[in-house]
Amino acid sequence: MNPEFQRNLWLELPPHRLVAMPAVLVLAFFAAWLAGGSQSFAGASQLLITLLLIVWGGRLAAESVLTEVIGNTWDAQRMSAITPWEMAWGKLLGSTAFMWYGSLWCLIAFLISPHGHLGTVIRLLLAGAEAQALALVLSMMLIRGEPANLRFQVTVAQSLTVVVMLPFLFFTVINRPELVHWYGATLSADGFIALSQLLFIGWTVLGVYQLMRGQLQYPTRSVSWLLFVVFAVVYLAGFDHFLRYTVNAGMPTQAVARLYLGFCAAVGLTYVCALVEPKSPARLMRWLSLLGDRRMFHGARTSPTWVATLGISLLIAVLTVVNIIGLNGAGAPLPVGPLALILAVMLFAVRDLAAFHYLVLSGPGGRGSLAIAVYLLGVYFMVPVLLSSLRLDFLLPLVLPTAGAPPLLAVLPALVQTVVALVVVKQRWGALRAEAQESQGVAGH
Amino acid sequence: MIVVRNLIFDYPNKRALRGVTFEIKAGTITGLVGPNGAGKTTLMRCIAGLEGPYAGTITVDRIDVADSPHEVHRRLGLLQDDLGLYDSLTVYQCLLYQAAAYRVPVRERGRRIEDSLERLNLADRVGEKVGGLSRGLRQRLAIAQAMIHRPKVLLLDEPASGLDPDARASLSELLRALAAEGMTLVVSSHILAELEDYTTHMLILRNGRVVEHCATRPPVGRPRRLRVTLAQPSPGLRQALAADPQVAGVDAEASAARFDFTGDVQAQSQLLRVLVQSGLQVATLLEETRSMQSVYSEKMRGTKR
Repeated sequence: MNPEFQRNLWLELPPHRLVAMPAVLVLAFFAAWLAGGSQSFAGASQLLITLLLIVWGGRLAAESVLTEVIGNTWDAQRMSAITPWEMAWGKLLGSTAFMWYGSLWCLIAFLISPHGHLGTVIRLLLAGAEAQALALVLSMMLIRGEPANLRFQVTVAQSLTVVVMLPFLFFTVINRPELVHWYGATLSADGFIALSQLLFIGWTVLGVYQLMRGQLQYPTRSVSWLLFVVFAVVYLAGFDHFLRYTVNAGMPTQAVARLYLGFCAAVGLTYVCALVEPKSPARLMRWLSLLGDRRMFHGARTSPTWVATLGISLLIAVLTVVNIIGLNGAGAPLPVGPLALILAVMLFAVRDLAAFHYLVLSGPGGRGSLAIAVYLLGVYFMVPVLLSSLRLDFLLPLVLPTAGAPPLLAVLPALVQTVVALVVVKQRWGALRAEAQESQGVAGH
Repeated sequence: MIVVRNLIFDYPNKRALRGVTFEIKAGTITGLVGPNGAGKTTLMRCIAGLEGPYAGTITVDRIDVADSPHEVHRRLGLLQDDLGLYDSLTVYQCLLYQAAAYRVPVRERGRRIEDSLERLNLADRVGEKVGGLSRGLRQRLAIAQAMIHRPKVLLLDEPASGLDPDARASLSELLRALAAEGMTLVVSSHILAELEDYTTHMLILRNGRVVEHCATRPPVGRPRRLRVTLAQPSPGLRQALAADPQVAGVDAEASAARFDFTGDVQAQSQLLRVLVQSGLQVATLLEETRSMQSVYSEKMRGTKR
């Protein structure tokens, strides 16, 4: 048996727990039945499955690696011969085994009630699996960065999971639509949602596996993430419902609007990637040094994943621009507004990425992420709120991409800020490189 | 067995190791010493492949740690300062988990666990929860875990901290026995007197640099420095010593002499008999060793800024 799964079973399913769980649940079901009959009984069993699998199970999954780090057992696990796949499923299913055991009792109770519905049960179980995998992914991302204040990080991972899962639950269980409109086709919501859940569980488990590979010192490749980006772009751009959000951007056709949606999704995922990737100055320095020495092949192999994600965004941006230009007949005026907006989105993304890296290279150890969070909060929340409250909304294009802004105002400030940010990062890198070379010189003597 | 070349390791805003270079031979016990913050734990973590250095190379049993960390992990055991044990498991479960995690063949697991329990005097604790064990017992269990896969190299970070004198004595005995079986050990400790009991070499780190790497006792076959003292001064001391072919480099005064001696303890006993029979009133005949503490203090004084 997988040793990690076995160890978790020893911890999670001792005999007294196997007896206690059904005893407590039977009492809860009885109380619910007394309070509101079979309707209440069925509702309580659904609620308990949600609590056990999503809230508590998510917490346990998030803790499964973090408790190892806190208990100083993680290094021993990293040195063991347990493979990343064994470690991934051993932790995911092992740490939550008690919750699945409790859910099994709830599931039986729900199905024997007059209101039991197998489809609801399947959706709840899938949501539970997704929540637990997501919580584990998030917690592993957090320890990859700055492993400080680990208990707090468990709570962060769990809270983020609940935040992500709430709308998911709302649309899949509580207020499920009958139909879904995707790429112009009208599909049954039941099948579409179940397939989507399975796909997202698959991607999340793949994410757990990839992160585990990194932690257990196996070579990691960015291919899985890049495939996920492509999947997410294609998946999100398909929702007809989202097209209404592109109206202000002035995209000339529905096809271009879908491309623009995909472009926005890719840029968003570039930010996510840049934020969650480990940002050690030493690693950044190694990568920048390879590029500085024009060792492009090695540089590309060791490059952070956000670089390739930005590449995908750029590719979709080019496709969108080519489509817009191609739509114009001879002599017709070019729709400059959408083109300027796409360019501004790209430029501001590069500015922000440069700012992130300047903060990582400059900040005292372990403070980079905090500085980035403050930066993003300032640029994308505080400044816009301030400008709006002063009735200076026309100045918004100075700090962020703004649909409907005059083309020159949309592009020029973004261009200037991007160039300044890149120059500042280059200078900072140069100074750090000189320090490192000096230090190496001293060590060599 | 362990070769480290020009190792540089950076923490954010701090260079922990600055061009560390040394080589450790198989079957030796190296005491890794230095003040707090010297880089001892970081060095051990780098050797174990748990941290990636900024520059430099480490090989363990001729395998590059950076290229093949998993191959190195199969050959290496690590006992960390904080032990890292599962308090809710029993002693047996801990060892069984570790054996399975290191791919000890199923049919061998029982025998390995029994062997470890016996060597570490834990056989009577097999069913106890780890959380209820004393510090000494936890330490022994952690060592048993670290060596269940029979590694060629064992790294121990402060293994004696929190142990009572009896437990320390049995730890020394165990480490000597492991080295005698061919295992290479690196032991980090602040307690130099305790390292003196079993180390063959000392590696002193200070501010991320190697200050000294030397043998703490001469290798077999190399001359030992002996000192003889007399109760009554005698001019015949030098002559009596010079008559023994195993004696060289005599530095004699009227009532004492220092000299290099190539013989073993039996030959030393024979020399004592000869000196007494020649009419010298021998008060002592001792091997002169420089204590680790004196070497350490001398080197640390020499490198203080």
